[in-house]
Amino acid sequence: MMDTITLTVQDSIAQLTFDMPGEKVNKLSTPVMQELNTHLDALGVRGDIRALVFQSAKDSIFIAGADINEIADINSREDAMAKASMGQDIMNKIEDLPYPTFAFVNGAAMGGGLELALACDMRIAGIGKKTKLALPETQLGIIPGFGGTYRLPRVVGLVQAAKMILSGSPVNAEKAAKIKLVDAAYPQEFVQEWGMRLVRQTIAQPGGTVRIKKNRAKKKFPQKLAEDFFFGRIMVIKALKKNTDQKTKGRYPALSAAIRVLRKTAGVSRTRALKTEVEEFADIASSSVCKNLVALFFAQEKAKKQHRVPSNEAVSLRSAAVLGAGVMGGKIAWLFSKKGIPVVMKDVQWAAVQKGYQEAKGVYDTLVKIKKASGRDVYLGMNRISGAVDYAALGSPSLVIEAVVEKMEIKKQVLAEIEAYVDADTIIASNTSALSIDELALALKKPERFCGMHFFNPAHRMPLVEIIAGKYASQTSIARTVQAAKTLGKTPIVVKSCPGFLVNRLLMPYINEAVKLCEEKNSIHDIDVAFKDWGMPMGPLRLLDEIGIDVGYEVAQTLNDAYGERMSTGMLFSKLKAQDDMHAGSALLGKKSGAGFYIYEKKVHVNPRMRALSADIATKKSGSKASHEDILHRPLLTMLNEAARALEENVVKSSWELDLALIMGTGFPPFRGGLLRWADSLGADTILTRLNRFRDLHGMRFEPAPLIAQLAQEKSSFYKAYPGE
Amino acid sequence: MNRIAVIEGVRTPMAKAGTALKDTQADDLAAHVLREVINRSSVVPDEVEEVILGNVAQPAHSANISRVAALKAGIPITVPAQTVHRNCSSGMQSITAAVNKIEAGRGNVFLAGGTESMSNIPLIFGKEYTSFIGRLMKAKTVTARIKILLQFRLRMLKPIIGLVQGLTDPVSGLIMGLTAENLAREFQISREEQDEFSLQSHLRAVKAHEQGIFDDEIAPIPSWPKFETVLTQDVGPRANQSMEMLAKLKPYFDRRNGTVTVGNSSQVTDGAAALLLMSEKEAVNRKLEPLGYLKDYAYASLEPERMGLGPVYAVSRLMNRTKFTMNDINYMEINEAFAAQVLACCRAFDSDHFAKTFLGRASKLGAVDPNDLNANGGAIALGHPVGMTGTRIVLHTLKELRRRNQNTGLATLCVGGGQGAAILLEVA
Repeated sequence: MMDTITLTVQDSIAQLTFDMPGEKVNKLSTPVMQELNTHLDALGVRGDIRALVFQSAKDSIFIAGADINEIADINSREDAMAKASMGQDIMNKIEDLPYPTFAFVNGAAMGGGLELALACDMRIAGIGKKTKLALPETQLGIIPGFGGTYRLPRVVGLVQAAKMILSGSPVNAEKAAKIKLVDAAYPQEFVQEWGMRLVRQTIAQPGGTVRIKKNRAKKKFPQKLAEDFFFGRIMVIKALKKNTDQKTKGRYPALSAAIRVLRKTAGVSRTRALKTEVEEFADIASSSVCKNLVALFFAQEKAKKQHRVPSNEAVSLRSAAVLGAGVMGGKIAWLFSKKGIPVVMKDVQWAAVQKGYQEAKGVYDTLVKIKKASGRDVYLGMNRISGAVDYAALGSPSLVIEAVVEKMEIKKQVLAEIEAYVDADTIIASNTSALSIDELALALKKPERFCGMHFFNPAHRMPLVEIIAGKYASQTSIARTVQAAKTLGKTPIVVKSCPGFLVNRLLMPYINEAVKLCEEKNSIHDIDVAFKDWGMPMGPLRLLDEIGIDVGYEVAQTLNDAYGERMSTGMLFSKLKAQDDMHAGSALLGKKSGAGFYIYEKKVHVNPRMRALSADIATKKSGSKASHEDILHRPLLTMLNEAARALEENVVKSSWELDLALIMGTGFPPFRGGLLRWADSLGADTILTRLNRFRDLHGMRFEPAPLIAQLAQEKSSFYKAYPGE
Repeated sequence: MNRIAVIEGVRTPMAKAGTALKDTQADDLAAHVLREVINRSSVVPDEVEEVILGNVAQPAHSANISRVAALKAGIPITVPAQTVHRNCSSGMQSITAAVNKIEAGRGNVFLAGGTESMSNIPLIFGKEYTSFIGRLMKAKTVTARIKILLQFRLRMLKPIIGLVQGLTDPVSGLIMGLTAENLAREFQISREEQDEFSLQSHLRAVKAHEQGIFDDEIAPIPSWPKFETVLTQDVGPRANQSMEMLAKLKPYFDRRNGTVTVGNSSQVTDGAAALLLMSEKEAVNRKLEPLGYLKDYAYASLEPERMGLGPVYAVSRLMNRTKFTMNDINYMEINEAFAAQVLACCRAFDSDHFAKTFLGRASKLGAVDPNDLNANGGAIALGHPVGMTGTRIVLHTLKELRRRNQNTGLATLCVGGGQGAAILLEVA
């Protein structure tokens, strides 16, 4: 099949134009690579060519990289080796052509796309929003495999190359020109015209490319010192390694591999460097971490496509209102403001509205500090937020998010009030984290316009939004709320209404079990460190401090009431409650009060008071110190057991949605692919055995969910049983 | 002319220059009120034909401030915007410009208002320094630059105070306060009378605040840049104001023989106000209940040095256009640029001699009842953000008429440079 790349030759200048039929983007799939190979073989033997230009006919894409499906399908080291070697050979062919080669990068050049551009003598980028250059492979758990690790450091220097490869984040045309990744950046409308002029100029004067390459190779002294001398390089690599290890604890083998490759290939020949690259690539491309990250990527893509609003029912999100201007309200208002949507924050008093303003401004201030926003962005952004203490000043919002105090009666009253003021097609959503959506819906005359829209704290950073489809909600309301969440840059997951919804229903038993471990002679430190080492962003007890012990207690009580025995609240909670440590202003509420399981001073350390309290309970309870594995598995399997029940009850439809929700909502380690993927890797029968043992040792709360027993019996897995669409 | 409906209107609280709103620029003040008017009405912003704002100081950072404010307020880019200037009546000029457009059939729905941040009127470098900097920037070589640098003199740094320059009429050469001194002499208005009027303005404003009279026209505004407070009330009115305190103040403009003090003049203040206007027919079609209607308006002009009498001239002209008399007027606002100037207007309204000499009328326009004039205080207590006041008194006149359950009112202003503005308003 030869239908993606078109060759044209004019005035001895050959142009290879990529335009993958039936696709929005160009991909370097195996067939396309073979097609490219054929062209290169033909061009290599022609004597009439004096220059070659690579370009794309797609509007906003140069080449989006390899086909991720093919990466997902790699199942052996040999397979990986073959794929990468083929790519490397083709890139070498480009590099070895006897005449100058150019890449006109007018759009996104990702992964293999950028590696192709790097194989050219010169690169020209179009200045505009669509041009992005990146090597994002490490985010999928692999490393560049088409010579990117060899060529990028030779073009931009070791430090910049490491930055791009390890972070995977893109640079725009101007930045690319600045770091000399491209040789020229032209306005995107002129890339073709000016680019061809440059091509003609270059071939008109002999040694044109040589001069540019020389110029490119000029480095400032500090950069020279760090990159061109053996000791400098060692220092740079050492610093990179330390930095990466600190962040990831070696959980992401691709990062370690990338650093290793950069170290080994600095200053060596092409053949040797490419050999190193392909070997490292092959080692990790078939690993489970890579598979998990690729699956996560696909899950995110799938999530984007779910619950689309039918075009005849589309209503643009022109303005929004947030009821309740607390920490949550202010942050939600900021989300709208950031996306250019006018929003009104309503509360009962101006003092509360002011707090909301400050929350939003605080987020903007942080962005300014890290240079992610300008003063002008802040002025324009804050101007999109208005305050009100009166429904009459709310305008005509197309979406209202209720975020007032978590009291059923108050919420119901507010919902009834707001419905009287808004348009007939306004969606009303509640940000409740615990109250029943179905009961709240009863406050409305038109309950079909109502659903839950549960943001996670801190709302400006947590990517997950649970959309709770109560039994009254219409499909349109859900689709429009999902749409709104996407507009705000969030990952929406639609769940059925049940106590705790999905994430809290799974997370709270996990935390609760950690609290129980703490009551059984296991130290706070041991528990948290075990989970951190396992890949969680923080241990469960530290997490409880972040949430607030009083808030955690409330949620635990609610779930205890709803689900009974298996979610019985930890004794430590009851003890704190009994000795009056749960009231507002108490010193033991977690991070917000300065102390909880830890004391929050300059250096965070375990709170001896909490240690004493739990030790006190421990002496009265039987049970002994748990093994490291039990410390991990008791909370994790508690969570898994509940996940199985949630699946059985259809709270969420598929395994991938459940995993995505936990990764996006709780920071569940992405490299493990999610709770169910992890469980599937252990196998249902192993899980069943462990749950049975825990039940015998620690009580009925570990009684395996019927689904787990069924999977074990059928030798099936969560992903097989609940694949989703 | 046909009546124009005023659908909705709001203003910011007014804050003395250098206080609560000092870090909020005029365009942000205006954006705030535009947004709030839209939020309080059922009109969606893309239905607006044009945004017209009055502004006097025209800050350098936002040329055509109306467009800047409209975009900041989230009004779609498809809605054009212009800024108008008629000195102290700029906030009325914006309204009457919209009225003219509606009358000419050039659109049905308009946002009109005014904004001023007197805190942010800059100091200006003189010509000498400007030229020095100009030459320095042009100089190409180091020696040329040094040569020019040597020409620097410290006196070049003496600034021109933009606020003072703006309040000075270049034709008569008088700062506004001196035009008020002229009227005090022409009408023999004593210092005590002026101070008494000023005290009353404060007491009325304080009482109005206590009764929450302004609450339904104020849209509270958060304080830039830290958002530590939300300003809900005007800063200017002084509950402890007394005749003794006023008497202590020295004449400000004519230090030797004057009677005009900072205490009996309007305050230098920041604020913005905006109205949503449409033809009466449009309001009927949309089944809206307007705050009231604008029946007609007039501008008139006179000697720059007597500018404070502008309202009398403007009302006289307005009477010539429409068949109303002062007897028909239930309530009136005369902007309190200076106590002397308002008192002079009151005397001129009630003077046959004045009517014959200056207005070409057989007899006086008619007396103004002090109880029906500026009933909730005026610019002496509340302040006078020059570009905003015109809009504010139109809004307030309608609100006060409604409160009194009366129908007809006048909103008037004197205008620096020798003009007056008057708008005739009705509730029903």
